[in-house]
Amino acid sequence: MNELEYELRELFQGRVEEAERPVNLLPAVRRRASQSVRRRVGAGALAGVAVIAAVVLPMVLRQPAASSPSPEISGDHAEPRGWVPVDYGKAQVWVPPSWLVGSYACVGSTTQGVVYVGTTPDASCATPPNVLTLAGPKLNGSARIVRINGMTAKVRSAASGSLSVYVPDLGNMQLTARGPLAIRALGTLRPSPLVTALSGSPQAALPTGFRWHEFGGIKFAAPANWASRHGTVAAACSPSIAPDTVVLSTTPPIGGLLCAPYAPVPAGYLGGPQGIVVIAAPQASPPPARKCIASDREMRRFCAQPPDGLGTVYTLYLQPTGQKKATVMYIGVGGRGRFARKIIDSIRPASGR
Amino acid sequence: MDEEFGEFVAARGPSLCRTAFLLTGDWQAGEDLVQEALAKTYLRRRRLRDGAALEPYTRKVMLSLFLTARRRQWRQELPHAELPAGEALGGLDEIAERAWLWQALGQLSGQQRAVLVLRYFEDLAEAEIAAALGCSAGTVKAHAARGLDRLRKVISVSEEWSR
Repeated sequence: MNELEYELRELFQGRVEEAERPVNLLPAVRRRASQSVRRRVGAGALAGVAVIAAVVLPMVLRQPAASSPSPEISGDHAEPRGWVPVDYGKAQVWVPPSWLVGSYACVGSTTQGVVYVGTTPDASCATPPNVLTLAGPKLNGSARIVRINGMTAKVRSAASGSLSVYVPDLGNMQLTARGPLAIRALGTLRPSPLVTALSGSPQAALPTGFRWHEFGGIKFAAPANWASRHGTVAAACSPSIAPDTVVLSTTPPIGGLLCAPYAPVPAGYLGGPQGIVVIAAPQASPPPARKCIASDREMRRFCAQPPDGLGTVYTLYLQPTGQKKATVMYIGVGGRGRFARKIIDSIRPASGR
Repeated sequence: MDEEFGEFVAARGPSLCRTAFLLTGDWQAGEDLVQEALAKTYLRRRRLRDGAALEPYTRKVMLSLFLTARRRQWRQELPHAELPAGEALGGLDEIAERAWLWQALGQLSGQQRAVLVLRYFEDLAEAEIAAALGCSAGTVKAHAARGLDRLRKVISVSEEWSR
C-alpha cells in the first residue's frame, strides 16, 4: 500500500469517527416505504385507466379479430412452482411431475401431458392435451428469431397450434410443443446441468470441500462428505448411481449396459442423484466413443455416450497414456451440474503411475 | 415491518450510514441516502434469496441512488480549473493534508469516489465492488487508478502552494 492509499484509509476512518452520531433508521424507513407504496398504487390506478382507454375501448369498438396462432414464448421464464426438470442432452425443460417421459412410440395418454425424448409420437398414438417432444431435425423454412431465457432460438408455429423451437446453442436441439401447458413448459427451456459440467477445464488445485480419490490409474476429486466404497454395481443403460457416493469397482456392472428405449416414467421420478461410479475392468464391448472433452498427452478422454441422452448420468472413458485398458467413470450430473463440473475438471492420471 | 428486516436495519444501518457519509461528504445526506436505499430494499426483500443478500442489495441500491444524484448534481455544477480555496491552505501538516484530500475527494466523479470508499473504507475486493456498482472488475481498477491519480495531482498542487 502506498502513502496515498494509507492517507485515504486514515482520512476515512478519522472523518467517520468525527461525524458519526447515533441513528434510528427504522421509523424513517417505514415512512418512506409506505410513501413509495402509495405512489405506486396511485401510478397503477392511472396506468389502469390508460390501459382501459388504449386497449379495451378499441376492442369493444372493433369487430372481434381472430386470436393469434403464435403464442409468445420469448423472454425469460422462471420454472413454475412444483414443476420438475427433464434433462435431455444439453436441454432442460420443466414440466409437471405427473407427466410421463419416455422414448417409446406411444408414451401414453392417461396423464395431462407427456414428453417424448429422442423420438416423435407415432401418428396412431392417442395423445393427451399436452405433448412436448425433445428431438427432431433442424427447422427448415421461415421462422421467427427470438430470445428464450437468454438463448437465441428459431420459432415457428403451425396451423394446428403447435409450436416448434430450434436452439443451435443446445446441440441443435429442436423441441415441439402442443397444448397450453406444453407451450408453457417450452418457455422454461434452458441449458441442462451437462452444459455446466462440460464447460470446465482441468485445474491443478483441489476444489474447496473436495478430496482426492485414486483408482484405476486415474485421480479425481469428489466432495469430501461423499461416502466411498469398493463393490459391484447393478446397471441398466448405465450403472445405478448411489446418491452422494463414490463407488469403485473392478468388475463390470451387473446386468450389462444395454440401452433400450426409455420406458415411460413420471417426470417426478427422473431427478438424477449426484454420485460417481468408477469401473476399472475390461469392457466387453465398449459403446462407440467420441472425443467430447479435451484429451492431452497424459490422458485420452472420450464420452461413451455423447451428451444427448435422457437423464443425468454422464459416461467418460479415460485412458492414461501407457495404460492398456480404459477406466470408465459414470458421473451423476444432478442439481445444477456444478459438482460434476468440478469432478470432470479434476480428472488426471494417478500420481503413482 | 418484518422482524428480520428490522434486525438487519438495527445491525447494519450504522455501518451503511458511515459508508454513505463518506460518499456524500455529509452525515445528514448520507443518512437520507441510507433511508431511501433501505426503503427500496424493504419493498423488494421477498425477491432476495435470503437474509444474507440484504446488505449487498442495499449497498447496491445506495450506490445507484448516490450515482444518479451525482449525475444530476454534476450537470448543475460549474467546473473549476483550480481547486477553490479550502479550509486548510496554510500549512501542510498531516491534518491540513487530509483536509486537502477530503476536499479533493469532492472533485472526483461519483464512480471514482465510490470505488475508493468501498476499497479503502469497506475493504471490499474488486469483484465485490464490481458487483455493487454493476460494472466489470476492469472498470473498477480504472476508476481506482484515475481517482488516485487525480488525488495525487491535488496533493502535489497543495504542496506547491504551501512552499
